[in-house]
Amino acid sequence: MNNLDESRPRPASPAGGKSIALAILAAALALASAFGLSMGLRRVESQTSHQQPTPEVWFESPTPTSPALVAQGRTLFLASCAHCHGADARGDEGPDLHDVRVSDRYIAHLITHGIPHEMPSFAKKHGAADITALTAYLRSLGNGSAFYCLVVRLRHGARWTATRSTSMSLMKTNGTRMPPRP
Amino acid sequence: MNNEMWAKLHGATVHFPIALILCSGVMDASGFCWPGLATRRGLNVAGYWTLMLGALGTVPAVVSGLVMSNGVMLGHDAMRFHHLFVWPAFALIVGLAVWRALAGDFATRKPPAGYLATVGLATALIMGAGYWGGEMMLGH
Ligand code: HEC
Repeated sequence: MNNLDESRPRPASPAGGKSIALAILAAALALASAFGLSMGLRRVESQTSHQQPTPEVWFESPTPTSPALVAQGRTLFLASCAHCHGADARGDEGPDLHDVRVSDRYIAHLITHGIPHEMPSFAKKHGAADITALTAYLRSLGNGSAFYCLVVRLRHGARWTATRSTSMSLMKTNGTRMPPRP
Repeated sequence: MNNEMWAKLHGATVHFPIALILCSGVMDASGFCWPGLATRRGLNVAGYWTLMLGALGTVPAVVSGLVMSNGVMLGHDAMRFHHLFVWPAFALIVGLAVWRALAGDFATRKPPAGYLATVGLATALIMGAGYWGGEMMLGH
């Protein structure tokens, strides 16, 4: 009785090629699903702004901008921020920085203080001038909500908003050279 | 749910597959070393089912880990080492479970030495993953 299972005819080839091939296939599928889930999560992650839009952005006096400042900001960005936020600021370990909905003051605070366990402080590396340039660069990537654009436009006039959101294209028309991609 | 919650869920889920797969290996190995044991058949049945449950348990462990890190497959430093152990272990465990389920009436039969060696390798990888997971939690 005890040996019943032993004496039963063995399956064609228990350790045979077919079972092993299927096992390897299953392992590969498992890894592929993990990778798929990872890509999906990163996509969601990079598309969600971490901070809620702050009403402060509608009232603060905006950081000055110009194509030269944007270019300078981009250089600084590539040196200090790109390894987390991506060379195109589309997000990597850190979030996508296009259309950030946070205020200029918040951006400056973030650069000087960092976020515990998430983003380092750049207080020693970047002073006020650098922060202005970095902010100009980030704003050139998009102004956030249409409502924000409208409020800023009403408060500061159309010319300023146009510079702010089209600095990148202005840079090209002015012949300002974009720093090369790393 | 925030990442902290997922980190706790990761901690809550990873230990089931760790314990189950280790137990499965130990039981099958005892059955292998002492084939005359009266409980040999029972050991292999238990080895079979603990492996299946352990393999099922890797799914919530992997999902909670990926969600807590926002989908990082490798990362840097301790996280990288953690993943370098985790992914081969995950693949091996799924492969082992599928093989054992497919390879016929194996629940009651003692698995071959190659199988046991692979379970041993998977267990070693799990330990490495656990070590680096701990390093990440303690932080430096
Ligand atoms: C170590 C990686 C890392 C570096 C380097 C880094 N960041 Fe970040 N940054 C992050 C992470 C992670 C977050 C998201 C944190 C959170 O919200 O939990 C973030 C968030 C931000 C946000 C807020 C985005 C939003 O929508 O809320 C801004 C703005 C930002 N970073 C700008 C910068 C700038 C400018 C630099 C360079 C001076 C920089 N970061 C360098 C990792 C980094």
